[in-house]
Amino acid sequence: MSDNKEILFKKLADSVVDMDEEEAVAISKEVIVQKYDAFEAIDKGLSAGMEKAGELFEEEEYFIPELLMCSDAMYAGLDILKPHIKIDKNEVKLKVVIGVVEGDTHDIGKNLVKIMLETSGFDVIDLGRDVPPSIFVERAKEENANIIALSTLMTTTMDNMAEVIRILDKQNIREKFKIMIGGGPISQGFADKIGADGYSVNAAEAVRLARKLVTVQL
Amino acid sequence: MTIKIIACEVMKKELLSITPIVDVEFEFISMNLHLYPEKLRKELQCIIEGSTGYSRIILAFGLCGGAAKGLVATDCILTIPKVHDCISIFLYLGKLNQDVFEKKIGTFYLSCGYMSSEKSILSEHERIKDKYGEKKALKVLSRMYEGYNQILFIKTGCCSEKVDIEQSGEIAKLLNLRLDTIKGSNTFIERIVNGPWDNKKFINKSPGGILKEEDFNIGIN
Repeated sequence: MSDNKEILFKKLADSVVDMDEEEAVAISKEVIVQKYDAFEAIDKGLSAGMEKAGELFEEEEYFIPELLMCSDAMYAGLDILKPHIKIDKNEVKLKVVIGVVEGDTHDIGKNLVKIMLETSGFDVIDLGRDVPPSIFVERAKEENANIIALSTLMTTTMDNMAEVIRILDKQNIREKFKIMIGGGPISQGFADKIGADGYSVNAAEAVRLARKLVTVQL
Repeated sequence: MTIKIIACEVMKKELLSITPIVDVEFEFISMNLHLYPEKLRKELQCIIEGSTGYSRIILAFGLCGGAAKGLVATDCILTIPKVHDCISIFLYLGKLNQDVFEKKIGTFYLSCGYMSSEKSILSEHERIKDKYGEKKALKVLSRMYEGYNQILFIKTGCCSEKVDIEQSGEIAKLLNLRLDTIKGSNTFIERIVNGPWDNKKFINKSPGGILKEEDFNIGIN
């Protein structure tokens, strides 16, 4: 990476960490002026900034309000950069059906994953929150989705993720979809136990996981 | 012999209001760790390992976002309520057929212990307002609590209840939610302190035993 590009992407990441929407917009515009790759700027700038914000959360420097304000800066930058992402018009977009499971209404994390999946080139069908297991399955079938992405913040609703997989098994269509799960109480151990295809600890990891899962699928 | 109770401070007033039958030693943990289940687990394990010479160690917690998963009993029996969180403890009325309390979706539960937390909604509002201004504070809070439609204060008979309910009213006003109260009980709290710690309501692990998600009925077909 050239020095200037590296410096600019670092500034973009910093604007997210500093919760500075105006700066995120200004730097994103500069990325376009300099003709740097928009997707690379999102990945190494905005997304990297959100990951850093996540680290600060773990260190108890940032709390949920700060993460929300960081994501606002990220969204502001995304608004500028997204239209400039190079699209292969012949490429068939891979589909993800995403939602927060039944009984749960916490969707901040899910919304972040959704935006980052869309930015990464996925067609995302957002079912919202408090989504019954059967609806995940029905919509995935209707949309001919590649991935079903399930989110929850509560331990009392974790089993609804297992229920989605049970329904797919019952209908003999488990192999048609990749299942990825995430959320506060979720773990790789739980993903393995219920037979999910993957677990991701944050939004950036979710994008990497989704890409990996569809590569395996294809 | 003495029982040790390692408790979340959210239950402090209720726990200290119970007259113990045997010698009990309490150690209270900050509610702040609720946000970080991994850190809470490490803290609890550290305290468990440092607690020797007791006949039983009781954790006055639930699964708490996964924090209790993986805890290992060391010196003596480790006991924990078979619940997901403290809400189920406060709302257990001791009725015969009351198994797991079905929490109402979209409800934010409060109790007197919660109101004194550094990370309570009112404290957070002040913190964000001081740092980023009132406009941003209201915007952020509104997004954080967007999925809720009511505040429900659980009454467990604490002496500060009147003031705590008033403060809950302030929270409801701040978030533009309706406030209601519900009668809770110290029945489970009494069981935590004085037993019986039967396997229906509690999980008991002998030394070397590990707490698992399945113990809390998660991931079981």
